[in-house]
Amino acid sequence: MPVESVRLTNFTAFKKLEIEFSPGVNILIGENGTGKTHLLKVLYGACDVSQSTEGLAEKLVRLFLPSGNALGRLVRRQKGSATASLAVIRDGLTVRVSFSNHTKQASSAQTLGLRKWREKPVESVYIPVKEMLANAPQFRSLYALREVHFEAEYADILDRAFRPLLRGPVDPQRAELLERLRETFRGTVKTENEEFFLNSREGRIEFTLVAEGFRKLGLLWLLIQNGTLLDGSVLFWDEPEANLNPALYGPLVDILLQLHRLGVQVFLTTHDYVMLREFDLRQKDTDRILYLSLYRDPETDEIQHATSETLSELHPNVIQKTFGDIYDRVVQRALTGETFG
Amino acid sequence: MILREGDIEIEFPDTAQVERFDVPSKHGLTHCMKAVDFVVTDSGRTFFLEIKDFEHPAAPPDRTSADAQRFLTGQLNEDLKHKFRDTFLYKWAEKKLSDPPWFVLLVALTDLTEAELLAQQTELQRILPVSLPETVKKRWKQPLSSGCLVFNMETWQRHFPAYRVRRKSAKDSSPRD
Repeated sequence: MPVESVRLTNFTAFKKLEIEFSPGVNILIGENGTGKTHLLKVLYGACDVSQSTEGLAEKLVRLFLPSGNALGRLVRRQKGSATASLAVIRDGLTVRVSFSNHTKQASSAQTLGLRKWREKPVESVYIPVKEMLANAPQFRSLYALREVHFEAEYADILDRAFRPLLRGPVDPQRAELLERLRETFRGTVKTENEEFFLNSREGRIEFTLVAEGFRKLGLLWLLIQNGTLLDGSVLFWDEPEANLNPALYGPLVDILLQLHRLGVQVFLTTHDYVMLREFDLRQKDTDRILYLSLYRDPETDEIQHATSETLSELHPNVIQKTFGDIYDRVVQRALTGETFG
Repeated sequence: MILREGDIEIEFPDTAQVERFDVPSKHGLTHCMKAVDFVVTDSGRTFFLEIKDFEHPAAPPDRTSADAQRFLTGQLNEDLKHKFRDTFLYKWAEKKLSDPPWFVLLVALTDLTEAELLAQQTELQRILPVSLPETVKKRWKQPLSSGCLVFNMETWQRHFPAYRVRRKSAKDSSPRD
């Protein structure tokens, strides 16, 4: 049951945003401060509460950590009273939440549609930018005791990672995907007393000693192995390329496309040209990819969005533009300056 | 004057000298020396110009996309390197090399982005050679080339506004003014 659309009014950096998503892969680009991560968190929060007893407003507070847990601080900052409203639509169902900037408690927010929303639960996972598996031991107990000031996605990802591996035969498509992943980080992942290890040719290496990029790929392997990422799940991944050498972007994109073909809806943000181009070059006609650009309107400074099914048609494309600028400067320097050697 | 290579046309000012270089009968040595498409001299600069059209309207699509792939994976670079060097030798023999020539490659491929142009340019600079390692810079007293640049039609127009480029087929099919 893929996420279909979102409507945000006066929420954090957004004045008004309405986006329709692809049931396949949604790739978000945009300069820093255009709300990409916030958008992902809203969608993830909505998906996650479909499977829990936590309220959506409460989940938002734990995901965004406004000071003093004051929900009202998530309303777009402006003078006077204002109301934020959020709506996420999935499979014909809508969950809505609204609150004013005076709201101190999440319980004071108005939520609509949550009961029906929970009648069709959806499995979702949010992979944060900072890899967490290396810091897993005892993290969850500290988090539960409210002893660490971390956003909810850091505890949630560990919950997903610790799920036991599925037993029994793996279907050939998933088996192939797992094998391809294994080749990228050259090993398998094992858990022991909340500590993660990479079992490779070199032996059993604790995650704290493994390269962060490999830990992330190891996490993906775990999530597929333990059934979290299956047909019908939704994956949210903030900057998957962080800490990965560009040589691995191609294989990573391949794996993400395979997940999409297996029925996982994917949302990711990226700052990287190679990531975008790899999707553009590897996508098949049967794949459903949507490129989204968040940008600030030059006149109003409000965040707007643009979408395209092909990368070349996406405007504005700040990543492309940056390369364009570099290219122009290189050519100009050659044409006007010293070029010997 | 208008320079034509297949479907691509470039307009140079009348003061420029434009020579179609890869004509076997005029060149005389194409059996053993490679040749760039054109040698253009304008405003004191000499360009060895090579044009690659990967979207010629009349060519079969899978042929051009195979060629485009070869270009993108750098497989044409050996050929381009020899075209540059052999043209240089020929022009030296003609005593027509007053300044180090520029090697300019115009690639007509709409999908090509500036990042890819930069990557191709950097690789070509390494092999022509244009960018030199320190040991060589100490030994060479003069460069082989003033620079190596790779353009697509859009960036060509941006950096050479005086040399208008267009497709002959686009011109023919557009309505009369």
